[in-house]
Amino acid sequence: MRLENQVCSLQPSKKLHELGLNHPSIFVWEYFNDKAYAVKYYPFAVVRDEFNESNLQIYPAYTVAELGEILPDYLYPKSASGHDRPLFMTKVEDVYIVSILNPNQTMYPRFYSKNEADARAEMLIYLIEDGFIKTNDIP
Amino acid sequence: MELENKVCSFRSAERLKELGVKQESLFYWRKCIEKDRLPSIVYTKGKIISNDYWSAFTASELLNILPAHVNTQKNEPFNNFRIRLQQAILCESTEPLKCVKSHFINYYCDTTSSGENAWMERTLYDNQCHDVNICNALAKMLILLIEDGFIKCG
Repeated sequence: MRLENQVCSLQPSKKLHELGLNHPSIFVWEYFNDKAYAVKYYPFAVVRDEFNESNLQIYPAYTVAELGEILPDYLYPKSASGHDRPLFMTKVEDVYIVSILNPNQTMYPRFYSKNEADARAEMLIYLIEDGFIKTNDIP
Repeated sequence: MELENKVCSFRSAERLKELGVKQESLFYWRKCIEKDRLPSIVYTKGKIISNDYWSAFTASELLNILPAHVNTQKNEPFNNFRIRLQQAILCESTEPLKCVKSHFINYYCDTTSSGENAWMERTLYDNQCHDVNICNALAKMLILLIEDGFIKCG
């Protein structure tokens, strides 16, 4: 299985970085421009050189395990009358679905991808943007 | 998060190799020559076929191997089970209170039975496979499925 399929793609990685997520990762995206970017194992990744590679940007390329560490197990209600809602992952054929199970058994929102890390990253972006998680609270 | 927590344990890796799981992974466990030292993890993009290396599977690799659903071929219509992975707090001890965030995996029947909260309540295994390390939870489930004949290797 290719490394690129085991980490979240460049776009969600960039988005999570923009949202202020600063969780350590073992892989990183090295990004020069839209035609030159690659995912690297962190110890062997290019060291950023401000003088020679001013365009080089580094973004954490989170794995499924890393995203699992960041994602909450439950969403706790904002009001006293609400219910706890568990997050879960399932798979249909080769598509991964990361979703929230609501009290009426509906699964919403749902994020789909053939790469599970991407589905998890999309869920994390949603949770940060909707204020369920604060990036400052993530260790 | 240590690298050891991003791949399955050496023990799981050994068992998976014994059961015939293809040894194709990004990381491998390698036994150290010195007997007292613990095995170490090596990273490679190439496939290693050697008796001294065991695939240290990541969560993505294990999820890729695990089937989306399992058909038990008996007890229709409650014969089709879908994979479901969740996280929850597990209480390891009460005195002193020690709770850890764990990953739970099981296969849930996709056919509802009657009664309140019946939807997806039937599970393939009575006990969930769980572990603090997601890779170990997935590896435990994979070992169970192979041992029970739901997945054929080789």
